[in-house]
Parts: sequence; C-alpha cells; structure tokens
Amino acid sequence: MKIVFRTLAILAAALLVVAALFAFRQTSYGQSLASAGHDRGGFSQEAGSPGTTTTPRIPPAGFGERGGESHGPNLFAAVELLKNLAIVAVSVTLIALGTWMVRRGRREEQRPLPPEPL
Amino acid sequence: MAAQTQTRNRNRTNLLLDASSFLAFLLVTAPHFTGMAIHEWLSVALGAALITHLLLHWSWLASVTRRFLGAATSIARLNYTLNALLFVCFTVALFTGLMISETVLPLFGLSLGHDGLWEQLHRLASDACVILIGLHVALHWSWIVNTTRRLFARRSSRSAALPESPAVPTSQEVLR
Repeated sequence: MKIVFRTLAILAAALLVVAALFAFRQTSYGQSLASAGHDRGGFSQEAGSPGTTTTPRIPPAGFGERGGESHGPNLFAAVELLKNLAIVAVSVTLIALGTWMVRRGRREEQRPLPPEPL
Repeated sequence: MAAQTQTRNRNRTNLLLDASSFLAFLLVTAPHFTGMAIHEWLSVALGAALITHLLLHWSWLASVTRRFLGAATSIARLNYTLNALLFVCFTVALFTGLMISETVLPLFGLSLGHDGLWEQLHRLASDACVILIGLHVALHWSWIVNTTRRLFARRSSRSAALPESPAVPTSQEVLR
C-alpha cells in the first residue's frame, strides 16, 4: 500500500511538470514555437502521410537527436552513443578530479607543521 | 550481521538497476543507432525504471525533503537539486517524446498532429538529461566504484573461502 501511495506521489509530481508544459504551450511564445514547427516540417507525419510529396527537413542535431530519413537501426550511428558516453565520462573525470583536489587541499591544511629548529 | 547482509543486498540491487538504467539511457539517447521503435519502447521502460529508482531511494528523498531548508548538508542539497532537475528534464523528455511518438501511441490507436514545440522541447530536454546524468553519475562515482569493488572482492573472497569484507553504505547514506 505504501508503494502505491509513493508511486502515485511520483506520478503526481510528473503530472505537475506536464501541466506546466501545457501552460507554457498556451503562452504566445509557446504557440509561436509550435507554429514554427508546422512551417518547418516534421520528420514523421509528413513523411508517412499519403498523398504528400514534401520532403521532411532534418531537425538540427542535439545529443538526443531524432528524425532523419532512416527509422530502422543503424550500427554506424553508434557514434551518437559514444558521444553521450564521452560527455558523461568528462563530467565524471572533472568532478572526481575536483573532489580529489579539494580533499588533498584539506589534508594539506590539516597536516601539522614540522617543529621549528631550536 | 543480518543488517549487513541486507545493506549488501540493497547495494547490489541498486547497482544492478542503476547500471542497466544507465545502459538503457545511453541507448535511448541514440535513436539512430537503435531505430525509432526501440528508442520509444526503451524510453517507456526507462520511465518505469526511474519510478523504481525513486521508490528504492524513497527514505533519502523524504528525509532530505523534510530538512532541505534546515539541517541538510550542502552535498545533500546539491544532490537533491540536481535530482529534481533531472526528474523534470526526464519527465519533459518522456512526455514530449510520447506527444511526437511514431510507434507507442499509434499502437493504442492514438495519433497526434505534428507539433514543433514538443519536438524542440524533446531535443532540449534530452540534451539536458545527458549532462545531468553525467553530473549524477559523477556525484555518486565513489559509491559506484566502492560497491563494484566490494561486490567483486566478495565474489573472489567467496571462491577463496576468505571472510567477507564489511558492507559499504548505500549511495544515499554516503550523501546524507
């Protein structure tokens, strides 16, 4: 029962985010973005809808880019996966290095000074 | 002894779930590699994994929520804020992904019109997710390394009939 309530709490939090998204969509900026998308042309519905001959334009690339002509798996696109793995690896390396340097600095500060020569 | 075994089992469960979720996340962020159908279904599965992950760490979540403005440590606060951002970004990516879905929603007979906003937000949120996941992994890196090491050390010590090493605290206990 506890798990059910907790799951519902998580889903409620997610619902709040979705509500915020819909609220954003109602703003003039959101609507202009939505209509800009219509003008630009999509990659799925237009490509698949019967009777249309428009060529969909590939959306600009991102880490998680979608779209393009191919919808099936493509082994050569493993570069995408490696790129994201590299981003995570860089984050881990930078933070681990930063943490190590901070700890080392603290250790140096805590180290007792050598006794002064008589 | 029983508590130690329980912590070990919890750590192992967490590590296995987190590792498989991370692998699934990497695959999800490469839709050209997996193909769109796998991308969409794996994202839905990842949503379920995220809920499970949150349920497994509920006690930490509840305790930091209670003392966020009071007695929480700065690292716990940072971790909490990062996790909240990750939750928002992941929810946005998942929801907008469903809104522009080509496989999952049509299977249920639902077909939504094309919307540029959802597409742009989907791309933006998934980009943010990659960076935030990187930071999330980085913050838990020492726990990941220690738990993996203990897990393998335990296996090798079992095979050599040596006494077991003591349990490592859970990731959330470390960041408490």
